[in-house]
Amino acid sequence: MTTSIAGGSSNLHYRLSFCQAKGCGQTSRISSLTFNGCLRNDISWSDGLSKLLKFQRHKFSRSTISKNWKPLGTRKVSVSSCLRDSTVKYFDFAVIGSGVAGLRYALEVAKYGTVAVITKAEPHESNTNYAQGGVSAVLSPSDSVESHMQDTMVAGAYLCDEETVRVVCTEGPDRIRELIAMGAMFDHGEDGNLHLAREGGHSHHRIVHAADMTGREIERALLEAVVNDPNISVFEHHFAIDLLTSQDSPDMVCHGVDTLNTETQQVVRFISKVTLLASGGAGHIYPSTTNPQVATGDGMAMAHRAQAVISNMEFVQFHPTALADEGLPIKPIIARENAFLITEAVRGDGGILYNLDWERFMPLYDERAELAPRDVVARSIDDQLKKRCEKYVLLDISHKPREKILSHFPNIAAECLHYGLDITRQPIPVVPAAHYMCGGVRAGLQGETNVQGLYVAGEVACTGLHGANRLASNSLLEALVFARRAVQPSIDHMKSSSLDLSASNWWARPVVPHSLGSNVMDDVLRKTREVRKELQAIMWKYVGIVRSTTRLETAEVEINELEAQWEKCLFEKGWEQTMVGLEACEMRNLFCCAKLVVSSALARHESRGLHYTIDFPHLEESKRLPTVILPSLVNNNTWSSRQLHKQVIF
Amino acid sequence: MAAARRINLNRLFSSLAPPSSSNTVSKTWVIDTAAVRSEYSDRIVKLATQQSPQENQDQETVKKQEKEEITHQDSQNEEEDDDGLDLNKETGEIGGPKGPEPTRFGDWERNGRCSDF
Repeated sequence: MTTSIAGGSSNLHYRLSFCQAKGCGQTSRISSLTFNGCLRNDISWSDGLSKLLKFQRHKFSRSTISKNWKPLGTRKVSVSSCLRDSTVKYFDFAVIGSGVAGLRYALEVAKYGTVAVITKAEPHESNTNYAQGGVSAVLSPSDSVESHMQDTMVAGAYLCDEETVRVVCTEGPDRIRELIAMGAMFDHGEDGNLHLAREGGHSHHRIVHAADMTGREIERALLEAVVNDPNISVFEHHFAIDLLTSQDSPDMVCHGVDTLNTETQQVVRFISKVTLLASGGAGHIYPSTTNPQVATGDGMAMAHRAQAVISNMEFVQFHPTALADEGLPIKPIIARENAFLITEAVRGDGGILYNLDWERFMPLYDERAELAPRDVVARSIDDQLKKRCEKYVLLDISHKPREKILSHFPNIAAECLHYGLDITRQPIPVVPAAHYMCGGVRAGLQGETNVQGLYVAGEVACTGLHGANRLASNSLLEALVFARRAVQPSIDHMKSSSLDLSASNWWARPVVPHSLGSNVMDDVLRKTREVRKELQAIMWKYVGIVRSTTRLETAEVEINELEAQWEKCLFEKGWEQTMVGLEACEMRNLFCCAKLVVSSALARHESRGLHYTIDFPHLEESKRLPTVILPSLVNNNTWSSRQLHKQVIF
Repeated sequence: MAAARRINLNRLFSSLAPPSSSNTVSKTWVIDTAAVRSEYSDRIVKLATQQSPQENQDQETVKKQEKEEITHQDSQNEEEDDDGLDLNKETGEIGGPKGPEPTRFGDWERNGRCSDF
């Protein structure tokens, strides 16, 4: 079944960089095939890729498929949501993630069928909820779609897909109006119109916001509507393990998702005609991140294992100055959940950056010193930290009048004082923090992927909007627009799909490791937590802001070794291939995402936007192309890189 | 002082223009904070919308900060609520955050903590 896609990207050539697997252990490949400079208007992102995948499949043998696999049944059985037994549930639509993308989509498709919203913690726990800034849209008569587009493309270092940018900037205003109609309360100005702020990178006032908690307000409004919708069932504390897929030549088809109810420790299998992946970001592959604990890249990893195409993972957005707990006199007893970002305003007001030898280093990197653009500051800090093997630098504002400091930055002052630091007298310890993933599961203009029945929206997706760097406040906008755009193709797909009630038996079931006993489980948990920290340390040390081929290759080797060591440890303790647990499953997802970031970074032989490498420090016009990771068609040999139900049983 | 600050802001944001090696038009722009403020203060005040729930949360946050040992001048901004509209005279916003424009340095910040950039 093919989804018809209107329009195409007329601006982006289709040349992909190829990185052949080196030795064993490399589980993903990036394909390099020139489409003869193919700029056909009838090829959109996903169309072009599905053709590429057909070519690839003829060359390589397929991976082992579970013996329970059968072709999709032709028997038509119409099933609305009905509880077969306590471990299998049937829905027309399954939504993974309860941020703005997931909820917005759920509310629309619920008009056509039953919806399960699956979320791994509380529904409000998502990156959306922490998006305090605003959402950008053209809502002022003096503004224009072209201007918003231009700002987006400039910020994205011209790697954005022009058609995607046009669609998002054009449809944004309507999506905001719908949110207002749904009850989201945005701030107004004296004239009664929406109050529009102007953020860095925007040439007009266009940021709609609700005080300073826009994300939370949008989340609140959407959740309220979701809770009141009889067709939507929300499954909290259900961790998504793997997508359920089958091969329906030549395409891969998604039939639902396996989950683990982390409160009852029960596996719940969702069979659905359509699945939307809206699972957010992967900040926790790094030690310091603004993302909440749930952001462990689950969706990107599941999609990659399900043979979905991944794109642009090298573009990780960092903020240069997050409060560094290591530098505080009194260390927090409980590790901070998400990083406290120190505003540009501190530097704007005269704050100076020093390394731990009290050398002012910014002038070495840029004549504008502390007032250099944020990306330059981030690189400079990163460079200092890596060269000097230190954990943080110092941001000193203590030379300014005490009253000014306290009046401008009371939040910073209070937070630091809580841990024994007086910012009117001492410097603030800061370190860069990972904030947003510009890359993700490659999406077409309707949020479709190369897996039939699988759609994506929000941070987990790579739609082509952000390119090499995200423009402020464009992420909530992207989520809203794509969640909406995925609705019609989802409905069409749902209507033409039939649900085979025996489908729930096609895949091996995940197993909760009751048989291991609590001592072994404690060991597994402890080891997994250690390994997570080690992975984060590797990523920060070798895959930070300033990169190099040597460091990236080192990262590749070390991550593979760490993964092998962890898996060996697990299996030696009796862990079986189909066993699941929250921490172990998050760990396998973190490994997967980390490897995707490293592979992508190695494949880009230029510096552009957020990806900076000293081996290729300049922009190359000929390299102004997305990085694409195709599914690996050779047998993957790590537990983390195979779907749970496709594990090789020895 | 204002001119120097504007120049500093220019520097802060000018590199948003693409490097010259790219084949596109370079673009620079400036946030003129003085203009933003005057633009809003010139407008006629109309009837406000209802007080938003965010206002209550905002007040809770402010109360929490007042409990800290540090004294600060945010309370000064609360005095701007003088005509029942909860109007922030600096930004022209009703029911919004107190104090200076959160985006005045490009990122979105409140009392020093940045949440978007």
